[in-house]
Amino acid sequence: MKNAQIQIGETIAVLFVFFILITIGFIFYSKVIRSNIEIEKDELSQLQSIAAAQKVLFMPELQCSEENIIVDSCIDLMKLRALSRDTIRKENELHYYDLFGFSSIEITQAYPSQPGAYILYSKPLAGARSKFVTNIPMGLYDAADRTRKFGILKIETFIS
Amino acid sequence: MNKRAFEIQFNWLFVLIAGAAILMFFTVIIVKQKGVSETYAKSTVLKSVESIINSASVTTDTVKKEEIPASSIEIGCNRISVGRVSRQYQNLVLFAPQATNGEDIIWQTMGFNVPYRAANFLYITSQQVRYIIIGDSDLSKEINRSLPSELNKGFYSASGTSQIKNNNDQKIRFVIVSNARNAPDASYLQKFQKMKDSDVTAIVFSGNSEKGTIDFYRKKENIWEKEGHSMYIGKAAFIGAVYSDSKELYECSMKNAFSRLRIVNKVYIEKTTKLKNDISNPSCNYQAALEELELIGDSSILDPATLDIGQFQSKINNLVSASKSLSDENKELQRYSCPLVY
Repeated sequence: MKNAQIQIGETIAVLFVFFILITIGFIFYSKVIRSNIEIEKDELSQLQSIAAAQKVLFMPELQCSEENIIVDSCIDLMKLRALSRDTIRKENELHYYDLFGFSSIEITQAYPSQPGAYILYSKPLAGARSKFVTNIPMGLYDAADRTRKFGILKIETFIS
Repeated sequence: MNKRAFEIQFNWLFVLIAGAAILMFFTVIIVKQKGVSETYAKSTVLKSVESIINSASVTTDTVKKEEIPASSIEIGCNRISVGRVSRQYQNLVLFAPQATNGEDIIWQTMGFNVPYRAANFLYITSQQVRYIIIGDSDLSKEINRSLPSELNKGFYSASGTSQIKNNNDQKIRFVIVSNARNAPDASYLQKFQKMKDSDVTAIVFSGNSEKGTIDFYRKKENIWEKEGHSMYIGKAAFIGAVYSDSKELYECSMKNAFSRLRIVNKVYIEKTTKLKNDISNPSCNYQAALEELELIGDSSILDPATLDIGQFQSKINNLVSASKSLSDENKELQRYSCPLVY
């Protein structure tokens, strides 16, 4: 009986160690996976930021056009002023959520320098872990006096 | 029972329980991992579709064939699902069959111009869907020209439909252009009788490339059952009706397109008002353009699902006429070297 008890005790100990090793393995694996997810989240946020910039530059409600012929990397200043007005911006917020998600988008006139920014969309994520900021230079066209200006499109994407 | 026999039996019992516990442990892990992998694969497909939607929003008049992992993509009103993984949208302008299977996805984009570009229409389908275009009018030729060559399509004159063969395609979509607005001929179904009812659909166009009516039909055994009717405005919309195999999907995307049109229109109204106030040249008449823009704004408040066909028709007529007038006004502004509206 004593021998058998020792044998069973040994087997239980082996099983115990086996399960402990498996648990440690799983904890390690899940930590690696979690850190990979965090890296992927950051990369995704950067991609979202670039995608949002492309979408802004291609929006018919902002793009410069002449007889429906699109001018690349150019924002119509008159359209921009209209779209950034509080009333219109708030009305469109739900619609733009599909395009931009949790982010903030604004355009500043860099040359000739003008204080303040045109806020196009603002939906920050409450309790965001960090944010990714992309600045893209672009042309601004004022149809009224037919002048070309220089602007910066700033996009902030939030990482949870 | 002596001690030795008890010991052996206890040993076996112990081995059995411990073995079962180990087996169960690994089985649970494998089952969970399988579920995770399946969800991951489906979300990869969904991501591919999402990236198509993103790309489509920044390109116009593009056709592309894209390979994705074999799966079934279900398209609903403002929703895309791959198995249990789905993505909900607020305002999706996507024309596609309700279910798209296969590894090759073909997508196309086209600008929705009224007369300025208001939205980018995205069309998605697969080579498993065969489009049979029947008609002799200019509209039928335009539909054939506008559908990409990568598509599984065939063009037949109204008198040559006997040449249509069953190529064992997964889905069939008849696109019939006939100003008589009659139901599709039941003889078209003869060669496709063995196919599932939901896999054979038809659409009958009546009108021209500017505007017209659409009747949606579905196979019901040996006859065509009418699903309903709707209207279209412009090329992008009638091509949308070709790709959408249900009235509900078509009208949902059109409703979203009109909602986008209203946003863009508001911006153009503001811009034109500013131009009217700032430009002193008397030859630059922005008032007329402003009136047309306001008419476009009023006519675009339409939800095809809630309006009766009379109201819908009148709004579409107003939209077409205001769009034409605005285009003329813009050309007139260009003639006098004034800043353009669009």
